[in-house]
Amino acid sequence: MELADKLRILADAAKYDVSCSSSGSHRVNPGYGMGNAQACGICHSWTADGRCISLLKVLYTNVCTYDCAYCVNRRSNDIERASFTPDEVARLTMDFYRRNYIEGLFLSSAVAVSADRTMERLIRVAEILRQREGYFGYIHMKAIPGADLALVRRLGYLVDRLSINVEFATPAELALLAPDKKADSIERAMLCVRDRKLENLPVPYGRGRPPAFVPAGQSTQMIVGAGENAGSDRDILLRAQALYSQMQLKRVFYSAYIPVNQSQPCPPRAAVPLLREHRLYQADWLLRFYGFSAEEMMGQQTALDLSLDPKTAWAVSNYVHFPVDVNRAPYEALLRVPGIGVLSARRIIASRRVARLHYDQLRPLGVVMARAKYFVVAEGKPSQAVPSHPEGIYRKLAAPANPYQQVSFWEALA
Amino acid sequence: MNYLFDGSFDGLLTVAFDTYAQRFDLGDVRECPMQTDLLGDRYIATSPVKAQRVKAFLARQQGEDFCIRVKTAFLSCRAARFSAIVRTIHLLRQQGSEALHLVHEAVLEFLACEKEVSREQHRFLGLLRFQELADGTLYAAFEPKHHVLALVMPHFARRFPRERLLLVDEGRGLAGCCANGRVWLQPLGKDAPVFSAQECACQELWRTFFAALVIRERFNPRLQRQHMPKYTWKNLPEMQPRM
Repeated sequence: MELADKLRILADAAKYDVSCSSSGSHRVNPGYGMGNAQACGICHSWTADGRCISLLKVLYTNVCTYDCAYCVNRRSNDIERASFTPDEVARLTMDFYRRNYIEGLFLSSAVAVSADRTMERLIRVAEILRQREGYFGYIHMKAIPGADLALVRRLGYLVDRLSINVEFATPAELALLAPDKKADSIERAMLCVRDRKLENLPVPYGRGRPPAFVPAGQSTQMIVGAGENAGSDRDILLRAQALYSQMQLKRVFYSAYIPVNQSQPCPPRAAVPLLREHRLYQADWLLRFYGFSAEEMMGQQTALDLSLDPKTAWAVSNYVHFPVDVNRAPYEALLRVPGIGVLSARRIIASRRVARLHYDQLRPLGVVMARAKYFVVAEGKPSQAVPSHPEGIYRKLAAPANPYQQVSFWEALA
Repeated sequence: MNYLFDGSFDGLLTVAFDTYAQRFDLGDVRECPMQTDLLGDRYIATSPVKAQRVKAFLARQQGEDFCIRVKTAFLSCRAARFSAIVRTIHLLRQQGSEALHLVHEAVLEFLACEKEVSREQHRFLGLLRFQELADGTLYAAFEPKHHVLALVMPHFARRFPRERLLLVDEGRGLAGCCANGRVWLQPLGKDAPVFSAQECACQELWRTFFAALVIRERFNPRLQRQHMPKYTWKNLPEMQPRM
């Protein structure tokens, strides 16, 4: 088989994996070989669906012994199969990296033969790149759950990021849709990476540095809304919160289920609106950078409000905390105002040290007044402008038509 | 009164130095190749000594990195960039270091210039595409709006220490070269680049990969254009038709 065909098949097979970030790792090039890793991450291109391409994201092979209901590559599907050799992956990575097409490699794999055998192949690719090719760029690899933990650890010293997909928010879903994957072996692999990473942290005042182990951290992915008994937003966010705090994950990615298989127990009609995925990412940001907890955001509900972003939804239903005075409120309170982000909250704090902030000065500081005007007070705020009761605000802010809604072909015709 | 200078960074800092006394009557600040005083304009000759004093002042008040931020804003193509920088420096001199946080027209314009330039710089760290020339040099042509050539070069010099690089800003007719740990700018030569034998095949592989990644159910070209504006497409192999 031609290399181009393998690339086409194995890139196509890997495209449903969400992660494509190249951030979090800082590796300086020593003056030989090729490449380095930038902590900020760099996107190199964008596909026609608007997702960024930063890594050469391919499967090592799509020959799979598993039969997961949601996955294109499952054993029972009749699709083109292909496998790279370690040299081919290394060659492609070096050629693409040298031309600045990519920031690094993201290698995942179907489980061919056994988990251990698959892991050995991934390790081989990483060794060729790091040792033979003198490659110092970014590498993200999937650890295959069920593989020997010694292999997981060995891979961890070669790559920047390891990820192990939990796939679903609840164990029941995993058992139903991915009967070959075991929740406890996934957890064991994640714990193993977490603990080894902690053991390898540089010690203050220590001598030298320990070898870097998964410097860009660990990540995972959850599929949203596959099948009849799919986990609710509440399940998903609680799980994500637990993963961040207990497993010390760097990122959790969410993937709205795309029906690729025509079978039970994942009925093909059940495409999940992208807006739901978008809302989950917004909620995830609130978890990580804004000091919100999943319980706070969800309140008594099981699903996020699709017509409002989670921060505005929280502010409307907790209106007792508002309006906030931008000249007095502490940083944490500013962060909770819809329309004020991390950057604009910092700029407000820096700016009000010099002079009292006027209402009209908020917009130049980067505050999105369309939302924030209902929740802040400042010098010279016009009084007649806005409703100040939650129902009125909800009516003003809730999206009338849903811009992210996917219109199906038949709906569009009708 | 409008002020003219020779277009160099030191020249702009000299303007900031010399016009401090007239800061309440500062008109436009423009680049001008001719050293003539026209009606209502005054030409200020570049003085490295005065520029150095301004740099020392900025470094003392705002930290060593601040000069780089000023230089970043200086490379912007926004019309008001020069006067915004001069006025910001005046404000810092007059009101102290906190002036940078003022909600003041000049400061906001200065920050906007800086932000736009560093955004485009970061964008081209990803969107620059190298092509291998017959002699093994890596060649990249691009057409940035702001003058980011000198800003992106150190990144690639660090990343590819063993390669010879040639970065070409087509709009400004400038070439940036990196070789053997040295980085320099020179006017663009006339010869058309000659590419190596493998170059075409590698670009085709990249196009294959690029096409395979699209999820048709989520087709969203507007989002794609937002991140990857059309003015960059000309030099992206993935946006050229497949063979």
